[in-house]
Amino acid sequence: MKIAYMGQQSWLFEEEKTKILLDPVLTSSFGTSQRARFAIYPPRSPIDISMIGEISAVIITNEHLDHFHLTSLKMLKKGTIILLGKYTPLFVVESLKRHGYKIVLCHHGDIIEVGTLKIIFFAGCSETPIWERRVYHPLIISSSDPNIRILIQSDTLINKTFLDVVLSSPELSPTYFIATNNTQIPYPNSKGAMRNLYTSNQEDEGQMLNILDEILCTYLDGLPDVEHIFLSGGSYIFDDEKSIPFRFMIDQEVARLASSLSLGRTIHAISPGTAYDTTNQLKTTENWTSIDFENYQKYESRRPDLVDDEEGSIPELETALMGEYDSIESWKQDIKLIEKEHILLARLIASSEFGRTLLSINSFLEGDLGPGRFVLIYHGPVKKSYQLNMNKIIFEEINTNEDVFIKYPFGLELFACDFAAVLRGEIQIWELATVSSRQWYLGGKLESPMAYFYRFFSEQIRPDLAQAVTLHHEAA
Amino acid sequence: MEFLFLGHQSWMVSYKNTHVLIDPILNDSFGHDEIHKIEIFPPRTISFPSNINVKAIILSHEHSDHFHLPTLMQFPKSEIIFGPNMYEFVSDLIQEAGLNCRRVPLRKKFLIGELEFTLYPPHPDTALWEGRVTQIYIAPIDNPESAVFIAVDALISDSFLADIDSGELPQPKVMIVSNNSQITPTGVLGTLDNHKNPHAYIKRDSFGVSILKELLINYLEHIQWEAAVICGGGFTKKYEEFFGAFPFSDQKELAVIAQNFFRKKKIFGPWPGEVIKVGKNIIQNDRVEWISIDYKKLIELKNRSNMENKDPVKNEIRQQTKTTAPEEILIPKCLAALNDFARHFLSTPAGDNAVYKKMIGQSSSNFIMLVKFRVEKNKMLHYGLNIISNYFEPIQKLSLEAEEDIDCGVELFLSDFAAMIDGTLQIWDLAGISMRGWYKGDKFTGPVVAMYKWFGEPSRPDLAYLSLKKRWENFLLRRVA
Repeated sequence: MKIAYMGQQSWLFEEEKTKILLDPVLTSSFGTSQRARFAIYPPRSPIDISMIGEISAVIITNEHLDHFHLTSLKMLKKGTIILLGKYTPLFVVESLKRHGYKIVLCHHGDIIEVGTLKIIFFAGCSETPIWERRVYHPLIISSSDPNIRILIQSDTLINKTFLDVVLSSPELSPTYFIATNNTQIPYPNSKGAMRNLYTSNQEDEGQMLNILDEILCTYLDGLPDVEHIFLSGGSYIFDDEKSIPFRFMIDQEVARLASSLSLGRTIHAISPGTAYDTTNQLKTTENWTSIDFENYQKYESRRPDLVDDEEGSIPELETALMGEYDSIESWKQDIKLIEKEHILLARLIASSEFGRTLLSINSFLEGDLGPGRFVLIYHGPVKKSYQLNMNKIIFEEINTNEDVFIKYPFGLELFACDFAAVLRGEIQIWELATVSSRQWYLGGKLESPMAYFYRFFSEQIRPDLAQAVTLHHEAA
Repeated sequence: MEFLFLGHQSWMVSYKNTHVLIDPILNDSFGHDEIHKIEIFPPRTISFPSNINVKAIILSHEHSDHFHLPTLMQFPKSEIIFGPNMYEFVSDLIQEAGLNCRRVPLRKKFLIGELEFTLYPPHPDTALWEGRVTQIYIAPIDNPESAVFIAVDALISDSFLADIDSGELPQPKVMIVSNNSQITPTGVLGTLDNHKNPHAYIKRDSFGVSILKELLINYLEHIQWEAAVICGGGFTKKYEEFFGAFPFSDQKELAVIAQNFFRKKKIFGPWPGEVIKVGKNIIQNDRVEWISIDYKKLIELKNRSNMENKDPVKNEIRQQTKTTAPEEILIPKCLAALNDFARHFLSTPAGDNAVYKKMIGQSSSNFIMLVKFRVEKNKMLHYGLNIISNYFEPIQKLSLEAEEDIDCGVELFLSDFAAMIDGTLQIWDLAGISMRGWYKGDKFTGPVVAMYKWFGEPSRPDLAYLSLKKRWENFLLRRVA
């Protein structure tokens, strides 16, 4: 069997005439709005689907844009079989049906035969963050060589019941593992979605080691037969004049280091357009895409010097993802929309673990805290700041200046136009998080304000927003 | 302040004219010489210069890779210092050798020449058999900010963390940590591995990643360190299928890999003879001339463990003692020792759990643990621990099915076990080479671990005394003469 990487988390599995696409993003970039494009990294040309030939089936593991990419799916023939998990949010299924694809909804444990390949659907683990809760991790088994059993992790931890399956049925124990690493480690002083302004650069030390441990030791715990691990994910970059590639993106050097720290396993990092042949263990370059070396060089040359960089400067929040307002009137309308959203947002936060944390932090750098512990700042023609009053459970407008980091233990800064665009379903929360936000917080990044925004504005909690985003795509 | 690495976990700390040895082993090997030598890795030869005046020797704990009487006897004038919880047999043996030793209290500074030391107890969650380890904080008298903490073999002391949190002590610049993972290569069972699990032989895991994450991230979480020094695991054991060095036990190789993941913090993994200099900056100095490494052997040992030995059948246990006494004499003695052990096992969570599983399970037998004594080729004696009587009972004919029905067990030679309970061998001498176990669930609740606790120093320091006295008989005699 051939395992080919298409970039980000898109894969092609090929055995004789059977060709299965997994979560295909075929374009050279993706994004909800034309204003914010996220280029596949390393940059590659759009995938020429005609060079691949007849697609036997497509697997969609979850509803996120980098997995369910309608623009790409529209390049496939009508009537193409698309396999989806049974509990994928409804807007995905409806949208695909409208476009005339043949939908097969697969329940946890269902076995689907496509050509010479057998696909088994497994629901993801309930311990993953809520916005990854509907993810399925399929197992693909070759019928010509039953020793080729590929588990695609896709954004979720491995379901505990799957580990029991492995114990009782060795013939289902994966030998290949496609591992997801969604962490994008920014360089010191550069932007990143969950970056904490409070974190000193020192604390970033060893982060990749942590991630490798999580992937290779935690995710793979209970999968004793895996011999080959392919790194996948986190490999896209905001397409603009300043973006700096993240550290360790699908990095062959990291894969080499990780392999040398392993016994009986090889860790692979392959670039888009490269295929790994399980029969002869060779890597080949496919003809359906090519690396855009010119752009690659351009991005790579922006990587800063790691040893000599200065420490401690706070990354600037420069421009809004949605650009400038053309009139003050439209800004006022956006603020109105945001303030309306604040009513529900305040209650959502107060009833969450985040609310509990806010309540537990009663004193901070300047002594005892008042009822405001979390501040939301919207940049725009006029800066607007709101504190969450924990005694009233409302957001109330306040004035803030440079000492806001000292006064409030938690804060999130956005552009008014970006957040309003999220609320209108024009862009998604992760896009503005990656490009134009800043936050500070105490504790782990999954307890950060932005992590809670990921939850509250996820496809599962707000299918209305996801629906609107999808309609935008369909219109495009 | 300079830290000269002598191999495994031995150090010489020097500042101005003060030299202090920590857990020194200068010989090429330690352990039970006649039966199976444990050789220092990377292999090195030390010709300790006579002009270095060793003011004192500090012992962190009693294990044979830290407490090495033949080395101590090379420094008859140096005072030997350890913490208040050191076993009595250590001070007894030291005194019998005609050497001087002294206990110092925990968490109290004491001076040796130009250096200041503080001993700390290990974190209470440390494995029982490492429970006596003391961790050592070292700083020059005139430069308390350049401190080093030797945090080997145990979880980082909570009282040490409390003292740096309160500002009682400055944060140490350098943390010395130990990698004692003893990963065995493919085809070779590790000491605590479950021998009935085929995956214990066919190893597919990123052990090196877990080791580095454990040592450099989890372990050092609460400390603002600048450099970490990885040591330990520096020996080879003569397994039957001698595989050379343990994979991931070349600390220099690990440190070089680890450095890729750190920007400003430094990671060192010195080879014997190399010096870590702790001052304003932390640097590795040139190696000293009086310690030479056998590079050819080093490479050979590493290559040997790289060979993938995929034949699990080869992993047999090895008899260490020749049977001198007849079975009729050995058996009652061994059975009595096992029955004492039964009381320990049944009072541990592992035993408790085994009983519970029996109670709710479908099993027809009353046995929760099996001991397989090998007597001679192809002859095996079986004893089952009966949960109703809490005695080990002989099982005349054990079918495969009946064996499957017993959740855990150990297999070893009757003569070895007898030698262990009369203090000729230590349980550690048997570990990995002459004993193997199986269990269900977590390896730290398996029967081998239970035996470490019961027959090791934690409850039988008397056995440790006897076996070490026998081991060092010749040295002790020399002293008396």
